[in-house]
Amino acid sequence: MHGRMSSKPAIKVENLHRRFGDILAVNGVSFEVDTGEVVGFIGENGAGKTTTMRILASLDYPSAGTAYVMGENVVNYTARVRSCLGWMPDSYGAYDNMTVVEYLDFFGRAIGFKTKERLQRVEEVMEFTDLTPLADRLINKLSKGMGQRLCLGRALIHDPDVLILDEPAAGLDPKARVELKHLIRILADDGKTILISSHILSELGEMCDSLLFINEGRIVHHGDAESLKRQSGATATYSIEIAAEADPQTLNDWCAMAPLVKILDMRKNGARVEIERDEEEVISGTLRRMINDGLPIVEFRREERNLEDAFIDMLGNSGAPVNLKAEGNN
Amino acid sequence: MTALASICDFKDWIGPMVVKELRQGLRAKSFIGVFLGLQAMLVIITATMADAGGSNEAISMWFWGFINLVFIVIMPLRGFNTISQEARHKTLELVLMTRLDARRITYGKWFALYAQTLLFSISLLPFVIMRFFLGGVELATEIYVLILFTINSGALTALSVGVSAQPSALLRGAAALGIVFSFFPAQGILVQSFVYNFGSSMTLWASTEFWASFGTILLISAFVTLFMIDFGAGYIAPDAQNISTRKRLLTIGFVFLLLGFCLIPTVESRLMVGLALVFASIPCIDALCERPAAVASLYTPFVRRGFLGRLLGRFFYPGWQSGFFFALLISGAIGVFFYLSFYDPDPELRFLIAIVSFGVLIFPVAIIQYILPKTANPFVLYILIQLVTLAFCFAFLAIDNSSDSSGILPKLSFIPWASLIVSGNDYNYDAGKTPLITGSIATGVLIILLMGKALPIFRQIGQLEKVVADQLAGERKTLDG
Repeated sequence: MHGRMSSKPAIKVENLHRRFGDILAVNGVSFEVDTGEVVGFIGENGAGKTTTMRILASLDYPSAGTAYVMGENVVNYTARVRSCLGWMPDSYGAYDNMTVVEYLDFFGRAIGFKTKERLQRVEEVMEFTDLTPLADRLINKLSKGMGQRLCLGRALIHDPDVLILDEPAAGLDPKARVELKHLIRILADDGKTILISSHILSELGEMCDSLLFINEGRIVHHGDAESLKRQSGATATYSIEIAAEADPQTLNDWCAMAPLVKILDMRKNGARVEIERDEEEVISGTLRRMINDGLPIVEFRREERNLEDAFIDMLGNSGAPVNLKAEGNN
Repeated sequence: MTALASICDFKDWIGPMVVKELRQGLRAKSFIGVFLGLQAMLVIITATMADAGGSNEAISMWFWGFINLVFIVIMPLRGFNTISQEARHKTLELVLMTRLDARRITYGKWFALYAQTLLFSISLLPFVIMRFFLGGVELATEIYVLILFTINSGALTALSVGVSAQPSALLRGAAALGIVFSFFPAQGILVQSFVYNFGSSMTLWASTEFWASFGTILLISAFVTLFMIDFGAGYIAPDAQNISTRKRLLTIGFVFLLLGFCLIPTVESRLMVGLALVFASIPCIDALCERPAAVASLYTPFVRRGFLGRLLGRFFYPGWQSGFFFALLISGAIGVFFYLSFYDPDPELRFLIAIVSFGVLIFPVAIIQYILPKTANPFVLYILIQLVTLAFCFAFLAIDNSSDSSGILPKLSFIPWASLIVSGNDYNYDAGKTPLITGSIATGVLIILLMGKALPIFRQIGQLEKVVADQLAGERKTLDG
């Protein structure tokens, strides 16, 4: 087995398996993350996200398959992998009787930095995470949001090229989430490769270049948020409003006769309908026929599917993995 | 002082874990409270002593009793959760992702705790000197006792730090109780014997007996400290880090040194064999409870040394399969000296006892490997099996003693413990050597059974050795090219 690959992806996972007794937590996962890319890792609890991330962070061993971080095999070259990787687990580990600056200093020392370099890195990280005013505060007195910033700071202390963040926004209030998102965006702009898992899918959609969906230990989708919304369901939902003086029953009757249109629910001056084929010609043809048939349409609006809907749809499509990006996924 | 200036308090050469633990430890209420509490108590006791016009037995008992409590109980107990807490808070894996390996973590934790004990020792010196001037005590003896406390506290702190890596809270709790109920009184008796029975300071330093006992205590403390630091490291180290070989080499060195002392005519050889037996038992159990690791890099240092390296690997590779041969080697060496050192007129009896004792050691391993191979914590299970077996044997012994029947326990002589207990209660059973012969045969069967389980593992390791050998040959070719 070669320790270093010739190609360039920052993270490469090949046919990864991880078994815990009778449970196959990760079942043939393969994907690649390019350098500088921000990838959201999404899946239900127990889907295999954390296990995959821990293997990438060289904290666990695969039962089969291989994984590389910056070209280094995570099993055979753990020290090299760890030197170029920052890991932020789902819960930040706090120490009693230790201040923010001492915490960062400890990890700086443990990485092997000498005084001058260590002071510089600690100062930079505190500035970046906006922890300078809290430098002397005991860690166990920090709020959850501050703690997560400190944890991010710890992961950044050795200025790694790759960051693996497991549920960094879990339990944060909206303000802290926005702050964290902002920090991650800055890191991405700085060229860091980031693999981030979260349950808040809408935030991941905004933050990430692409999304990796994992279900029951298998990758079921790898692509950007828009493609997921398009691909996860073949149907489209539209909100139709007719003129106030018109009788909504006429819209109901028309829809009942139209072959591809299904009423989801009637509203005061209109209806919410589903059009079975989400194709431009079908949609525009339906609207044209409505107008030609004399329906007084005042609004015809596509209801945007959000990532949560798409995710749930995709989980519903059992056994039909969608693969938009990673060619050769198993 | 700015926040950044505050982190320059320790030099770069001091280990990161030591720095972290000292910063936390010196700030902890448990340290500050105990430090101030002890100082206050000693001030009161010294004032009482001044009032009484010198020391007497009761004052000395209180003085050393408090120091005993702090050095042998409180300070070591502070380490009992130190590693398990890191694991629980998930900080351990964050630390393991840095350049700190498992051994540097446990060593750092031990050293920081011990440094705090050393602070206590230094803070006690003025009291010891004051006691001398107030009268009734020997300064040299008192300083010696303080040194003894400090040394033993280091070993017990290592014990607690090592045990703190144990995932089993049951074992950690049992070890803590063990310290409180065994070492605390034992240390008290030891000190009393020195303070009151050893005579004046001049004769104390001059006697060979003193230096021999001090040297033995120092040797045992050093071994316990080093072994327990590695014992703890073994539980948190990733599979790719080999801690087992160090532990076994350390044990071999210690055991052979003690057994080597038996060859000196003036040394009480039975005491040395007894010490070797007691202090080698935990390393042997530890070796017998290790899991084999299928990480090729572990075998590279051995394979690099050719046939001899691979042969040594049969004793020193991580995993119970080589731990079995290691235990056989250690037990064999102790068994030979046991056979030679004890004055029992019947050499056959000594031989059979040595064989069955090895059976006692491996009996739980056979149960684990054949019945419960997937157990999460073989070390704890091993201890439990030994305790349950002993409890059953003593229960049957009690039943046998209270009835007129020929006895249940002799019929269970195929269990090594039962065999030893029956032969040790010859006046009850009058069974002669039969139980020991049965126990020896059972031990032979256990050895064969365990070899049967170990050989397939060695075959797998052989394949890994071949992979490593091919890699090394490839590297050599590249270098030659």
